[in-house]
Amino acid sequence: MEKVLLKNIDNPNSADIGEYRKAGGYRSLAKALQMQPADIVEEVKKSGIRGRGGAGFPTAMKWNFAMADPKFPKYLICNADEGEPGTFKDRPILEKNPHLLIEGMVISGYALGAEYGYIYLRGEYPAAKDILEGAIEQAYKENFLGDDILGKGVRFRLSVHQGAGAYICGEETALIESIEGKKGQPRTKPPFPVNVGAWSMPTIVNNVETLSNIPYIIEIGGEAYSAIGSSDCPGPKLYCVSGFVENPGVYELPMGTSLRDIIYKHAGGIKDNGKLKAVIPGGISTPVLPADAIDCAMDFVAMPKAGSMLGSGAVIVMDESVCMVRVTYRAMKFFEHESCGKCTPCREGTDWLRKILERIEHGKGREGDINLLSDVAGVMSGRTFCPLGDGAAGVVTGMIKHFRSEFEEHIRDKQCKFRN
Amino acid sequence: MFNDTVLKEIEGIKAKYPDRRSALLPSLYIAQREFGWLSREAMTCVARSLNLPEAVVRGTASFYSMYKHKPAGRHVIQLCTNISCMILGAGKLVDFLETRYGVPANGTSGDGRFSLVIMECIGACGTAPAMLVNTDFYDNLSEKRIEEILENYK
Amino acid sequence: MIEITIDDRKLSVEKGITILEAARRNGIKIPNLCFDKRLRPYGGCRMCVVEIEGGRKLASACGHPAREGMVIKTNSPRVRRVRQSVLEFLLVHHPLDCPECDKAGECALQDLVFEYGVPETRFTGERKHAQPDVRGPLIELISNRCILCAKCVRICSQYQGRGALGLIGRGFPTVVQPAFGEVLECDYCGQCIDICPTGALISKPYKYKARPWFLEEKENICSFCGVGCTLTLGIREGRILRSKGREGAGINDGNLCGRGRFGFDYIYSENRLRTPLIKEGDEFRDASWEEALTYVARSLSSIRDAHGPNSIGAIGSPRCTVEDNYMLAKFMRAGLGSGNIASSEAFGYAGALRAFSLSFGIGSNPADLASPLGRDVILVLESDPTITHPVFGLNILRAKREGSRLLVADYRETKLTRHSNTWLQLRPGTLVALLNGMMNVIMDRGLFDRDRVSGIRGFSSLEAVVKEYTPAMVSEITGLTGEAVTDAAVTFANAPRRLVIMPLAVSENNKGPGSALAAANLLILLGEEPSSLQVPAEYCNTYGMLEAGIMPRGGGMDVFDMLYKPGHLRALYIMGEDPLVSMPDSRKIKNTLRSLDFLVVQDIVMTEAAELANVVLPASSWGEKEGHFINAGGLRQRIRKVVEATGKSQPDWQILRNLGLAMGINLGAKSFQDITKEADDFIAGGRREAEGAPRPAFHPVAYEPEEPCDSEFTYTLVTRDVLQHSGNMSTRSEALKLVQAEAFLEINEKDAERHAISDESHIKITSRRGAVYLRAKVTDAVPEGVVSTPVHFPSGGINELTHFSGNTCSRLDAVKIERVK
Repeated sequence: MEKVLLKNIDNPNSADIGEYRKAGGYRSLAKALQMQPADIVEEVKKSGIRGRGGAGFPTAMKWNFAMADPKFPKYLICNADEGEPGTFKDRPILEKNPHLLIEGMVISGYALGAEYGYIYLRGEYPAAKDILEGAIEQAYKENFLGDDILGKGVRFRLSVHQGAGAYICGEETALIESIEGKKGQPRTKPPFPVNVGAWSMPTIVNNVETLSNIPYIIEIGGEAYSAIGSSDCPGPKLYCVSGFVENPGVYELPMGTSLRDIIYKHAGGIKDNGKLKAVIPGGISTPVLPADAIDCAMDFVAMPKAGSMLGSGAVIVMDESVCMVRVTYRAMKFFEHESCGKCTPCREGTDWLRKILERIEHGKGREGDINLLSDVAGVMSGRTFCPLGDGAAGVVTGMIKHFRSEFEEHIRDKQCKFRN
Repeated sequence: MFNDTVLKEIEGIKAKYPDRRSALLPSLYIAQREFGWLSREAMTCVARSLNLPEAVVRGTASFYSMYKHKPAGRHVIQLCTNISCMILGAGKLVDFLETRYGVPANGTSGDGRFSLVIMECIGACGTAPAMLVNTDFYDNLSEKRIEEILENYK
Repeated sequence: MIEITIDDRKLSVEKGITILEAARRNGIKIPNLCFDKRLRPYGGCRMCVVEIEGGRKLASACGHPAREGMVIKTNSPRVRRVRQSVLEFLLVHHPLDCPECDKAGECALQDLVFEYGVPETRFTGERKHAQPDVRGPLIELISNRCILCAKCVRICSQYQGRGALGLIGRGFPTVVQPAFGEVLECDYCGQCIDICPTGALISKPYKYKARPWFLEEKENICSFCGVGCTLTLGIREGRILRSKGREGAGINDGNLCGRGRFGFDYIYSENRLRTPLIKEGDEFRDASWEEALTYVARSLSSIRDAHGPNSIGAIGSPRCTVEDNYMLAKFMRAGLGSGNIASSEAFGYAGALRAFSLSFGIGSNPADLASPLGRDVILVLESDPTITHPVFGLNILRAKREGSRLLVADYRETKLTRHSNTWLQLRPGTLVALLNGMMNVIMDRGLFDRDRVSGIRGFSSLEAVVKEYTPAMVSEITGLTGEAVTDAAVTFANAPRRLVIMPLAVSENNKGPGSALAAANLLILLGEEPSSLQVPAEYCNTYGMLEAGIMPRGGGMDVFDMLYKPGHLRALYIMGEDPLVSMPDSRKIKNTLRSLDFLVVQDIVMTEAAELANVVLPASSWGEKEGHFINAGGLRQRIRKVVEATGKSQPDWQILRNLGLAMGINLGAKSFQDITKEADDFIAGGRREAEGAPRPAFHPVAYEPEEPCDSEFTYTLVTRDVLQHSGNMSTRSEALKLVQAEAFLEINEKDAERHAISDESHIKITSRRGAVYLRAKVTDAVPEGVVSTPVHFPSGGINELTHFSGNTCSRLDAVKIERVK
């Protein structure tokens, strides 16, 4: 498959506007500005693209909701708060291909009638901030951003808003709170951001990868795009593979590539000829899959059927040396640390779960602890304000489901026998 | 209070948003740069320059883990220990930093040279373990490589 | 309207409301811990979950909109299980210290656990580590009891506009705390105490005082400002122990300010008068009622007989009831035949009434506490209603939140300037120039309906006066830029729904009836009705006092002649007022009082004026007597006797009736019911007389410069109110004194530096009339060249410095400042 999102990134100057244009960049923008906004949305609709942030919501549908709202101004926010552990797919775009994202945002802004854009960039990517701001400056200079883009009377102003270390800001309403200078705590929905978003105005929040697909959709047309990958959620997809594989990294593959192929064909298989034990397929908020469950298509539709989720496409591969209790404990430490504290079940539940997991991992587990874990996770699941709590509960439930014996051994032997 | 140059910088940031509170996160970064950490004085300056109650400034700042809520060493090491890094040995690197440089997790070394912040994922899982030293990024870490890197941060 | 079903009940509810609202309005209880109707839905506690038929997940009722056809179950087994689990989560760390918690018995968490059953205690780890508690003079926060519903933080920042509390931290370790450290410095409104669902936030004066189930709760109208809030008083063994707001009770609907919540204890001041006092030589001695009234009767009779009824005057009180004031007026007019009846409101609301009459041709213009809501632009003129009328102020903040543009013209920083869209920081006392300037711009640009307005009486003279007030000239006077004046005028004129708010307080010297006239001119020019000019009356019964007849009529003298011109009066009867504290230029008043043949002071406590009296009569205070107050909106509200009278004190009206009897004058009124009815009829008659359509007229006002500063008197002194006090009665409250016990002088940082003054420095402040000593408060809230002080405190003696002009209003004073070594 031709590379779309990672095109040209081996060029050491790929972030420069000149190099980007040499490779055909900003042609889609010129093409888009000849089109009516509604026609652009139509192409996006035909493409069938679904949001790449994790939830897989059809992009065109989100856009249509925002466009149907008569309030102005509208805001377009790029979610570059790539915080799901195991995920590093947006980073190459941000650092190596920033103009692709900018081009995608200008086209989207034009289509949506949004004149102001913000890139909410996670604080942990300081280098990307400088690169993006440099690229934005270049784009302003060459009139791809500004008040009269390409002389067409189109306005789009773009700036970078740097986050400051809070995983929950990846949730779109928390992200909006954060951009407004508040704690990143999710908002009550409805109203949805497409109607009442940033500064109470209609706001579209799209992931970096989603927006970076837009120029390509305009270039080849929605229909041609929809032929790539899975039929019900098409397009190229960035998969990031980490952990015990020979060649960890980001792979751009057609949506729906099987998990087995991703691990064995593209990432070179298990490191040092080890034996596969488990895979977390979509970032740590997605339930773990045991070694025998990896023959599934990595897309939004197939993964739930396989017992997990596509999430951010962050594949964490674990071999036999890895302790699943320790992984669960570490994951829960993360969720407790990142719980925003707003709702009772998540705030209290993650703390309680972490404390139980900690004692099990440290050889102080008690009889009944596994049931207690299941119970606490059970009362959290579906009852928290936002998906963070669900994710935390799902990790515990999934781990106990597939690796219960490991938990039992820890409690029985009063120690952890694993190397990693 | 901030000097005029900084105030001007903050005015510039305010202009990017429809309301003044939105300039809070960027202004806190500026305060952190000016004062080294978010001291009471630093947050009071931010509160005054944005006309916000101090409890709002402190409450917001305290939500985010990349602001320094206590004085830090000359160099801040932010080491990821989340799962991809953990399974590839980040835990041992934490121990190494403590024994070799005397910098405890989420603390500062006695000589004030380093602070160590345990991070959640910093998006370098493919080249784990990884860390930031100040704003410089390093990955594929081992004990030896850390020693080499930290030579450059006196 | 839409149709929904809740727990098998078919309901028709307003479209767009939440499930919780729909249930509340139909008397269906859905438990919750983080909901309050004043706040945006939060959805944090997860107690209000309900089951919606066909829905996969449970919904939280507080944020979920009700939709057509929804079938909702609020108490299904599934829902109850979730609530039980939430309570289990909360009880993991919430201490079970109910035996020593003030809230026990009225604690939402306790009640819910009781209802849903104590959860099995499966958590066996360490409880959450005790966080440092938060201290303050009136409010305490016991962190361990906090369940992080954030209601306190939200009401403080979203609703009160203060933001004194923050949620510090993230996730599990989050704590509610002030910005820095553990001492809470705030408005002390105590709204956080009422809203807290547990015993985390408690009232310090009430701490450990009583179990709620031993309290008898009685409602009464607050005795401070003109808003007239309903207080829910907790009484035990004949003593008021606390005061709180109750949702659904009174016009405040649950809101209270700190004065209403904490200030009631002034009635327990050790200074309370318990028996009549007669002066012998320089000392007072106790006397019986019979002896005292006989003495007063004989003295007044002989003065009347020797010098005529016009040699006797009386001062009424905005703190006393309608009945009390009516009786004083009747005693004077019908009993003695004197029309010399006046009050401190000559410097305040009476001026507003004059302006209403001149400008709109109406006798009254009651304020509407809801008036700010729904306006496009609200212009607040040199006032801070969040201080003078706090619960009214909440509606201004709410209007702003809901989209009104808020323009505030004030010399100093206030809560409203901080929340404003535009702060017009003018020089103090230059309001008339600003308003004239705005009219100049409006006329110049034709932003008004000339055809409609030019026929109104006084238009041509207004045009002539206003013509001179070009933006450039106004800029010169006010210190604002001409552009700011123009912008304000254009914004105001172009808004479809406009409002001006400007309470006139007795204690203020930066504006007066002239400013009200200028504001009325602006509004009439734009075709507005009187209701667009909101001048709320100042105290609990200012409005009622004036309606009850406390104003000079039929050639009677006003305070200007009675109190500032020795020799006009031989005898004076003062009821519930201390002119030496509340009125300007107090040295002159003191001279007058000393020159009298006979002075009677009837009050609840010993006052500065009472010290000079021949006879002091002890009156029962608020809470000890029946009666009525009429609030700023003209609403007559009953006040109740909830505790026994102090010592031998009696209600003011009763003292006057008995005095009448001692003088052989029968004032009628056998019972309280009689006097209430009579007063009521009198007021109704007055209101009927005042009825009729407004007849607008322009009364142009020119800007008059204030007392000039010179090389000696270099600062301008502005007097004002502070949030913790209202008049001077509140300064007798031990609770409020914990926050603000004495007068202070606000001075700008740069000025302070110039005089080597720091916070708490002793300062001597001198005007052309006198000198007083105060402590300094260094601040950037007042501009350079201006100093400011509250006048509430009798010990401050501020009014020795102040003056007034032309029988109208107090004026700014030029003063000098010296640091006392």
